[in-house]
Amino acid sequence: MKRNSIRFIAAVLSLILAIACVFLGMYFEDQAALVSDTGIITGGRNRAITADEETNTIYVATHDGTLQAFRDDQAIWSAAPASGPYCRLYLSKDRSKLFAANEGQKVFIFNTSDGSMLLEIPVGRNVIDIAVNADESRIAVATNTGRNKSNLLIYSSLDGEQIANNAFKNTVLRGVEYGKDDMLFTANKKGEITHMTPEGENVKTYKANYDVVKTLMKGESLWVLTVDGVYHVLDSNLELTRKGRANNEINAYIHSLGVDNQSEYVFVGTEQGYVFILNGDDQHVYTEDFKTQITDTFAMDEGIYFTGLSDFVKVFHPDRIENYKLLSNLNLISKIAVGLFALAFVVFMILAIPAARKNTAKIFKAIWKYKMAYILLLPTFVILFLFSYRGIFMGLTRAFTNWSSRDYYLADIEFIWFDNFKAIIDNGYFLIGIKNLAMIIVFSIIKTLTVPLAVAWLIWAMTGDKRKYIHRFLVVLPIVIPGVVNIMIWERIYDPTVGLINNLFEVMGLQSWQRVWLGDSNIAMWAVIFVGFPFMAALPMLVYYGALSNIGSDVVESASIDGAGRWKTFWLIQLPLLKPQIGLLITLTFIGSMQDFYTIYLLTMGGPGKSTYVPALELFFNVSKFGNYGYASAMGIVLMVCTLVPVLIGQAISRRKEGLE
Amino acid sequence: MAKKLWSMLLIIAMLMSAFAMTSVAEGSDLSGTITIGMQARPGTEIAWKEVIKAYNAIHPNVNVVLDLKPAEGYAEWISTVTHSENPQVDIAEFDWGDYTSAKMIDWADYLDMDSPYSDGTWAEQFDESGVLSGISGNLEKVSFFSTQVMWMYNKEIFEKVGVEAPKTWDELVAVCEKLYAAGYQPIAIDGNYESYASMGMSWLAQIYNDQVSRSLINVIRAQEGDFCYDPDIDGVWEYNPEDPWNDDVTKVTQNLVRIVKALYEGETWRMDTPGLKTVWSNFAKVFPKYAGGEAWFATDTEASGNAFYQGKAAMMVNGGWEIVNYMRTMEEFKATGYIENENGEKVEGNVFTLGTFPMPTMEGEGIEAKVRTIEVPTIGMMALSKSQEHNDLVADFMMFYSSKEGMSIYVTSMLENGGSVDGPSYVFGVEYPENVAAAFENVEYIGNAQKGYLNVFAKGVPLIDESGREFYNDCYEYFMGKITIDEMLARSQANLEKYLPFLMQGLGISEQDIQNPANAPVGY
Repeated sequence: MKRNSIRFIAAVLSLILAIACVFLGMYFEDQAALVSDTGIITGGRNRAITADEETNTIYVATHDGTLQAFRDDQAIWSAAPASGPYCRLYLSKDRSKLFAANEGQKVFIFNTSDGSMLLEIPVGRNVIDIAVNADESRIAVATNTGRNKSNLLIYSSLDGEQIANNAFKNTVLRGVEYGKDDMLFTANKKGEITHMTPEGENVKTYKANYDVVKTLMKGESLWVLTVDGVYHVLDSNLELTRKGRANNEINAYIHSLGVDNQSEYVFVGTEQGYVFILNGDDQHVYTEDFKTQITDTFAMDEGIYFTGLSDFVKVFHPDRIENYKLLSNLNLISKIAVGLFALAFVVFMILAIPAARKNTAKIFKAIWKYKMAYILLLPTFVILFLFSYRGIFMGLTRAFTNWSSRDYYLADIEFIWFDNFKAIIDNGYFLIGIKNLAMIIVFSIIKTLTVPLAVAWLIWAMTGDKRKYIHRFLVVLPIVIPGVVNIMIWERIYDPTVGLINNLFEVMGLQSWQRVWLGDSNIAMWAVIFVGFPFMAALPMLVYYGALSNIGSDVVESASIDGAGRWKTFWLIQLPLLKPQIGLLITLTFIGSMQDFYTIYLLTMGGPGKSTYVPALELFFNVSKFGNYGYASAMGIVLMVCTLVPVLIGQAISRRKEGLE
Repeated sequence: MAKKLWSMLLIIAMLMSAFAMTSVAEGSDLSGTITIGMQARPGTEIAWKEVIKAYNAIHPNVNVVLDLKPAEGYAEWISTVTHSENPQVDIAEFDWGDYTSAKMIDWADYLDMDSPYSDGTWAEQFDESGVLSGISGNLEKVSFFSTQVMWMYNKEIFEKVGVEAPKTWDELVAVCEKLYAAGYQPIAIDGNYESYASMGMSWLAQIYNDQVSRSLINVIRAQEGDFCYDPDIDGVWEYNPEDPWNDDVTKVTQNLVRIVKALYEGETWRMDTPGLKTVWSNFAKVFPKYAGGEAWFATDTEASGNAFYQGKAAMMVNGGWEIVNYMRTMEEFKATGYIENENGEKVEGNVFTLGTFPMPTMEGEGIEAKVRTIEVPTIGMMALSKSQEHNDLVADFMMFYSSKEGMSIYVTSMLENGGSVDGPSYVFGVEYPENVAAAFENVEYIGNAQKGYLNVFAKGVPLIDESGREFYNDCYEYFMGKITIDEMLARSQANLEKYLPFLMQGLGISEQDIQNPANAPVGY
């Protein structure tokens, strides 16, 4: 009794420790998080951000044409909506003005105190980027038009007057930046980063050799990101000072670039939402999938702020990297401890309750006794689970989801409960298929019960072992021809132009009997059923033959002595004794017919119209052609139930009959 | 003495050619490896080798690897290649798989560049309106051969029955009646499932949809302020339904978002318009009765071709490629009296004279313009984008291939080695052998109905197989008289509404994008 109490106390202690470890793990997880959310909500799809470090104000512009200022996660103003998406923001050095590039062919200047518009510059072309010079009197605007024309325009930020318009042919601009001493840099699709005069003349060019996706001015350094994931850091003389590459093994589309205030950590964002963080040694320190296109970044304080085509602004904290591993490990240890303490709780509870202790001991003793058998069976069950049951369980759960080629990844899959099963009823193809399937099952069973049995009996009735062997061999030999080949032969036999049947009718002068056998909806299903004529299936024949041979000649001879003829002997003696084999073959034929679709797939593809559809074909099409995997899983479950229930009922009836007999 | 002289001359000639090669090699600064992974078609392997040989004579340091692939399994291969990390192949028919524009070389970057293989830019080497396809400014595919969907007929049967090539759909119906009464199957055209997806019936559906939807270009074209608006093109364009080339992609830009918006909202673009009622009512006057009766629904292209060549059918709807095929078939008929099909089976037939006529135009409610046909480039060539240097090299090879010199080498060699052409080449100055040129002489060009997304919705929602299947089944039930024309069109509209969101998901266009069609779609 006392011992049980100690065990009970140990169980309670284990439970308390497990709960404590859960909270500890949560703490470590929070501390280890390299990315945190700012809580900013714009209500749109964010495209560009910038920030004022002194007032801690964050400006976010969206694809939907809105521009808002936030302080402590709260919007302090919203600018009047623009007609096009914003693509770049630039905050003036005195923090009084916000320059905004808009793809609606405009550049705006806003007052940062209240979001009022100070200037609107109509550009007349698709704006892709802007840059502002040192004294903020000029705005350089990069535009693209048509298939390969671009312009570099320079406007006065005082009155919006156009100062220069440099047109380029065969060039698609990707970015523009002002550098030291108002040096103007452009980057283009050919991977060329060019220092050019305001008049558009090239001074010097650096070739990155890949399409440029983003440019960024950090101090006096020009950062350039190319489509292959390589970042190039160039000085004001366009000499390469640093270069690295995001290891983009997942083949995501590189899209955005960021760098922290110390110019150590590099942030590479992608269209798919992946973010790669590289340290000063070009080593990947962090990769995360944010599931939406990463559009812009901005370095503030110790972090890199970033946003994407969704409603979030997050911060990457490079300062946490140092302790990241330690905290991550502590988090992992906490989780393991939770598991161990939970296990200890269960063990102590079992030990504390005498009845539970007794039963558990009994089970473990039995297992231990046959340990070798369990050990030997384990690999088989593991493999069976991995390759068979896992798929079945997955199908069972995914049948209730929207899993498809469009919503393929786990993040996109949602439970839609019985919608797939409802669609089976709403969709005519599956139900029409059931009618055709019933026809196929009935005739397949008739085919199995007639010709093979007759042939087996005829061979069995032959005299002479050699003769029997030769005939058996000749009947079974066609089994070596693959089923697909057999069906394709029948496809040629049914061909309306060169097919055997129509040609035979032509020779016989029966042209009026000629048909397009697989193209006439009234006869196509019958043509499918007729495939394989004269329906001499080798497997049933061998089963029947084996069973007839096993009956024994004494039984037949006795019947003969009693005056029974061959027909009576077969009908009254042999056929009743073949019942188990007939039962087995009916079951196998039923299952085979339920699963078979390749005959119809190869002959008619379910047509003409829907006239030869079967459920398995509809399932196959939904997997292979339409990519509706959840819906196909639901059909699989329905088919499985429809197959399993009759088979189990049949088995129960035969068992009951055997019992009665 | 004579022998010595000939030997000397031979040596001099060899030395001169060697010097010539050296001077070209010294002049060429191009080097690298280009891999061609196009589909293997009759005669193309030798043709490509000849083109490569000629190119290497100019650029000996460029290694052009020829890795043609069979048509069987090409789609699977191309999809695998597209998704692999460092694919070897450069030039291939990537539109067979699910490619992404961002991964392809944008030929637009090179079109207006001076070509080393002609006196002008690359774009000036060929007929741009034919070669370039695509919408919203994407130009990742170029094709240098044209083809046309047309009607072909057996001149002897027409003379025997006393009918002439029809100009209107009503005349076609009258011709069919007479041919049918004379014991012929009037029309050979495939009518099976594939026909509605990408062959015969899908062509007719698109061609005649075009007659009743020409004005839609006003709704879906890029408008001022649109992300793909080009003032040089769209700023000067004016709608003119009298001009069959008025809406060419080189003359007006289609905005994909406006296309989806029009379909999604269903106010300006529907599948149950009076015009489409005219079109499908006219189809029912001909199909399935004059195309083989109910058997038509199981007729594939091979069976319809057999019926035409065996003299059972009097007319056939097919692509321009059939003209060269006809020439070869007649040669076989003259020599042996039969041809062998793909399975080695003999198809007997008689020699006859081939006539062609353009699509008969429909008349009636909702018809907006004269009929056009599918006059399109065939065999789209795309290339994977790699480094800029490599892209430049690939573009240089493409410029050579699509020059008068390169294309002439390719065509001549291909035709000499059992290959076929689908129609005239878009490359300027390329001439076909006399007999081939003569065969295409009477083909009348009436404009292309298949531009961008304009008419592809006439056969269900593109790229969505389920929608195509429902379209086929609705057509089947309509032609079989199981449903009325109004029910069929209502189902087509329902089909569009059901499957358009699937297409939008695939195209990366969201409902939010539709609200702002001037902006480039982002799909979120």
